[in-house]
Amino acid sequence: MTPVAQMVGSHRIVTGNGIVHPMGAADATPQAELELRRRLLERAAAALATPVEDPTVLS
Amino acid sequence: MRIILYLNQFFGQLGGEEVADAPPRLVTEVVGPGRALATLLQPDDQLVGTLVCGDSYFADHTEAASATCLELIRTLQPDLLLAGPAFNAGRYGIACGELCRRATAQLGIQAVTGMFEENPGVELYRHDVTIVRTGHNAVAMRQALELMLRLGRDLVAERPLDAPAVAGYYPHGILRPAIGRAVAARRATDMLLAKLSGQSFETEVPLPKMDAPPPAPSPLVDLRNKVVALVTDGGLVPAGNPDNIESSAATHFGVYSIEGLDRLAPEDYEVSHGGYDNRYVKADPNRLVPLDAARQLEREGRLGKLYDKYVVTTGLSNPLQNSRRLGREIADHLKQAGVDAVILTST
Amino acid sequence: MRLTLQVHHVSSLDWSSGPTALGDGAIGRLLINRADLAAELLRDRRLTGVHFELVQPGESCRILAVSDIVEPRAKLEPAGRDFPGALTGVQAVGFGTTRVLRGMAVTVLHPNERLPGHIVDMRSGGVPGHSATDLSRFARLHHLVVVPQLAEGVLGDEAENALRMATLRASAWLARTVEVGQPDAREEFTLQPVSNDLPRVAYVYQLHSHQRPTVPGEPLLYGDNCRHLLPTILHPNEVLDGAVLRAYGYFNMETYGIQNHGVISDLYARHAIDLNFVGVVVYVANQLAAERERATLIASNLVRYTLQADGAVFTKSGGGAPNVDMALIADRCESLGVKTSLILWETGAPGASDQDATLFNWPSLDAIVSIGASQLRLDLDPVERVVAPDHQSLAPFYAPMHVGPTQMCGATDHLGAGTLMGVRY
Repeated sequence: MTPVAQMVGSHRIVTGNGIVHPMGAADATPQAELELRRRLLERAAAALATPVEDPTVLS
Repeated sequence: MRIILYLNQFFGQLGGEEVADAPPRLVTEVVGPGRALATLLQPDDQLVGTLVCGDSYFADHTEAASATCLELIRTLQPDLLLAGPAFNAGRYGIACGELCRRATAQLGIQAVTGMFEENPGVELYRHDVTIVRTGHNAVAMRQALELMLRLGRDLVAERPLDAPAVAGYYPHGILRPAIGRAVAARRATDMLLAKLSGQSFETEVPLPKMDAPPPAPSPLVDLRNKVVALVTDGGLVPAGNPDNIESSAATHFGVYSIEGLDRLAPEDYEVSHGGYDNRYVKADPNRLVPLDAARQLEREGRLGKLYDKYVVTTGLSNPLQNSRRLGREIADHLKQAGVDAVILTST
Repeated sequence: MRLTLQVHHVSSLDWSSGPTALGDGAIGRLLINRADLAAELLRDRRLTGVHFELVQPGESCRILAVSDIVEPRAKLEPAGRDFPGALTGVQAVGFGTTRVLRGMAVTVLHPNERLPGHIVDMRSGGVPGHSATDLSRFARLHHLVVVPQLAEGVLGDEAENALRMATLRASAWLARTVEVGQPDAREEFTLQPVSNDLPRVAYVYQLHSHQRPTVPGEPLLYGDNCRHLLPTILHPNEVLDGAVLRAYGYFNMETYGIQNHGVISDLYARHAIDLNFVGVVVYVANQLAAERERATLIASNLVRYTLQADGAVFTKSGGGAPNVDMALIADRCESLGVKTSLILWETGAPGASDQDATLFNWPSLDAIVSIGASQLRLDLDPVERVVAPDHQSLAPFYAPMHVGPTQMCGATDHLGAGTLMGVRY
């Protein structure tokens, strides 16, 4: 819930894939899910390396 | 009622800003607002003393100032402490709030103060202290004192206070059940129509005031030799929930080893979180704590080194105060473990 | 669209071995042939048995493990369209004539629920100084309690569906089969054109929150499970006349509460008097961020540009997460010039301060009605009778109980028909 993360002041926010499986996808193949997870983690790693000032949703 | 009045250097008539560092002293004459207060007292009330202290002194020597004030208060054995009112003066408000809080907590004496809504003392103290709403400055002195005295009388007599909106104080923050004057739908339409026609209305649920976030930590440009921890508030715990992480408003967090694991196996975990449909995460815990993908990236040098444990708590309905404490404690733990960065996955 | 409800008042319930009939021998007395009702419910082979209890207002009685509560209603004209898409085929409703048996409810219990589950308390006021009827509309009704027995292997979502269908079936059968005289009252629902100086008011209705995603066959809107519903507009009569149902999990919303919808009833009552009720925008609270963003745009555009509303009343469903969905749409409406008011259930925990509860803080959302909060507690009195599925020990539930308001059916109604609120002290 990225709006909540922004409201409470999280600086670096990456949007996950849904409330019930933020790092997953129920209707995808296991291979595709793993691929999705890798991409989200890469985005997270990139976010850690990004300078920000205010709470920011990074993609 | 035996009443003590607390005033700052200005209202206590010591002087202006140049004597803001005056230490606390007891004054037996009736000074400043004490004169107005004296006219509001009932026959069996008595203003037994006035405590005067400089705002800067209180701010810079809070412990010593409080201790001295409490001792002076104690010797007079009052039933009620009235502090200020501080109107919009910030240091004065904080001093009033702090002294009232301590007087009640340490001496068991009822205490009331008064502040304008923008006084920083309001948010800091309204949960612990009865603070009446006042106007912006001393023009509103008499009304403020009347209200402070009235609520003080209720508190001393142990009568429950009316709702804040009615009784004129800032909410303490306790929520109590009540039956409304009409069904919610009617109240919602009434509020909307008032809003549309520019009439005044009062919301039943005020919005939270969030603190400004601290400055953002600098970016970690090269993760290669950094330690990254996986943390979640989605309640994913080892099967059996060995540390009893609550499924709502968790009071503590768990730290569990992922050493040597390439992925989280569903049979080893369960979910303690009542706010989302758990079945997808139960079927594959990596959908919440992405260990399988994280290990791959770790091996490829794209994610630094993973901390050998993951951290979990449950965010559902968790009071802010509690969440802040958990955040601090988790951060302390991770710092001590040499962790440089956190990836927090949240439902 | 004009919908006429033919309302028949029920003031007592009794069993009969003759036909199900109302008013025979005594005004308002409903005689129910339970063998006939049982036969109707057992047409669904997922039920292997059923038994019934009768509970009346004022009784020292608690009903436990409630899965849903419904008002007996049947469409008379056009007939055969009860709960379209769910009980009958997908057909047009919201017009014609529908019979209502008012003053009673069919209350279906969940045979597998861990007790106490959801509670109807006919006696306890919960809030000091108040009566049971202040706390919940269900304390005012005569209850025909249905306790089904599910076949072996009917579990999870299948069980939920079986219970939902039993609820709808019981409602329609009773109202359709009962022998009645003339209705005691007629209620007309039509949105006649009104003068231009009345403010145009829309209702923005969150049907469901997919923090608990619906499953195939779970009927919400003309039988559709709304899993990826894009916001759309309904006529309020469609909601009142059976096209809209609630999801399986019980969360501050019963079918009875949709049939006797708090917000829709209030807006209808004030239509042409102090407002112009222009329509209902329905949407779901989504799981994925992109879906949430899409719903925000479409719903607020519908309110502003299609309905051309000056103001809108908002309700939500589910738990805490869907507060954000509601707030996003309302905030966008405000930025488009549409004023909003929200009906909110707060999700704090014991010890939470008044700062904790909303999950949003956009300053535009300054008109919020409280329907209570999860951290509140109500004290229930001891009772002499407990009605529950009969496989567990009921002894503790005769004693005084200390419960959250969500556990009390009708105390916390997302749709605005309750009077319980959380007051800040």
